[in-house]
Amino acid sequence: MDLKNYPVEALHTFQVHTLRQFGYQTRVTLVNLSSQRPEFSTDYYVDVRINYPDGREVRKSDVGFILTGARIVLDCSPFLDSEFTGEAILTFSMIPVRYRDQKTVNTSRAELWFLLTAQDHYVEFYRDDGFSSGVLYQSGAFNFSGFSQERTTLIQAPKVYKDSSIETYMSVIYNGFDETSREPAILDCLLIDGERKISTWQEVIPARTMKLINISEHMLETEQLEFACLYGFCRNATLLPLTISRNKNTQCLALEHSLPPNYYASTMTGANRKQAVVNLSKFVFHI
Amino acid sequence: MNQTKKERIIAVLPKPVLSLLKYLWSFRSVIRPLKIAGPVVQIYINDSGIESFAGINNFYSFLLSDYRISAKVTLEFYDEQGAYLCRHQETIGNLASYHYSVKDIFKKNNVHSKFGIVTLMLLPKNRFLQALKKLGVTAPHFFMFYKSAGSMGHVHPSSVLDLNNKVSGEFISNQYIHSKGLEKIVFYQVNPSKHLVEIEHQLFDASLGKDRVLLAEKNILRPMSAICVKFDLGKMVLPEMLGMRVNPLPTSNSKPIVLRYYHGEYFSLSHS
Repeated sequence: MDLKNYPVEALHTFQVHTLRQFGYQTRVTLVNLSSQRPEFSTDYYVDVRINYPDGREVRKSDVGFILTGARIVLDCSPFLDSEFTGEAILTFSMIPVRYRDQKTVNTSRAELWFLLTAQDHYVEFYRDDGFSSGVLYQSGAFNFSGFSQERTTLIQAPKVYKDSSIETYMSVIYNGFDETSREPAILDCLLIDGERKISTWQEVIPARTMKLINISEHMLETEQLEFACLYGFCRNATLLPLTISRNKNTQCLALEHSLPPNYYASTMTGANRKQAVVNLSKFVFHI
Repeated sequence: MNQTKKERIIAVLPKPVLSLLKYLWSFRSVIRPLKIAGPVVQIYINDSGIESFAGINNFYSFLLSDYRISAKVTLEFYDEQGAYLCRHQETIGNLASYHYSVKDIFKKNNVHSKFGIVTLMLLPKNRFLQALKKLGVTAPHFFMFYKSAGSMGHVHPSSVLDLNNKVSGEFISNQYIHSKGLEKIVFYQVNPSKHLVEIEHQLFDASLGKDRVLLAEKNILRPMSAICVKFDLGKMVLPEMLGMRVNPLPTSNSKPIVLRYYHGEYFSLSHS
């Protein structure tokens, strides 16, 4: 048991945001594939924490229960204040049944890592007419030292498109699970087309909030389809980015997550990643 | 005791020969510092009003930004039967990023295909750069963008191309599909292997489990081929949530992309 006094709410999480400003509600499908390893197999209770942009934090327990091998679908709208009109973050915690009624547990990094990575979960944004667009991903307890010492973000997003009807955004969630992750995150952005630098700018994201960054407003107005790649670098927080393209006329959405550096290069963790961060700071983002 | 072939050879080689071989093997990482998993695979769609674009960035220069690294892009296209169509190659500079229109590449090469496999290989121009060792095994991920008159989709690659990939087992998607407003579900499925595979795509009632199949279609996929499976739902009384099952997957992680069509031919798209 190499993890002592580990918060149960941070064991297995799925973190999403609302997208009300585009007229969408949020729905999640939570999945339990823990039976792949019998020694860790468990049913889950589901709690949810809602972080509002004004700093309020609301917790709701037992919003769902997931049997081993099952999936549950939860509409996020009932969890939100009826008068709230902005954007919020929802953090779903899947708590193994044997850890119920405990705030912290002694467990192993092997269990932690397995429970998180055994499956993707699904978030979708849907409209009243039924149109829905979603994406599958995993999200660990970022910005919490018990989960990982890593507190940087490297984004490579060659998927920014713009024309007279299409805009592309990046949403970033800046979440946390203890009081050490309260300073604002600074995200340096570099927009490239070919070898040409289109724009550089900085975004500031307060802790426990999401920000919707309009990337295409940094590109020129255009009738024909234009492309750019966003390189993003955050020195002081692990952000959860999603690329969202939107058709202004039909309101249809396209969503996709980015890939962390170790998908491109297997050793891009630990010391190698730290060196890459130092180099990017010096040679690309000139910080 | 069972010995591997390697262990049996080592056991019979004279010590001086073995030492020489070990010494020569140690130069391998100097001569070939780059390890690459293989070309990465996704599907292109060039049909039904949908255009496809591949967005690529020079990730070598991003992850080793203390060096200036150019890279060679090689995109290869196959038709839905698995026949090779054409290739697009070019060199991209340090930190550079480009998007490639499938329609434009096909026009330039005078080929036609509605959908099929696209592979990307991205190699640094200087493959002897010792710093490449720091990357371990690399994979040239890219992003496909699909666009019609009013709809769009982004998706990352499905898998690495390895023709020796084995057929995987049953796959049940982690996403459920809410049926409100749904008129059609379309799967685009690739077979990035050298095996002939018979595959069944199914939609089932999510509340009753995978055995409550509502619609199913079987197809045979040739090596390097792709199929489009359409389930028309407009006239059906549907349960609230639908599940998706593919049996078997042609290779592990070659999950289909799924298009959810709503009223007015608008779609959303995701990997399943």
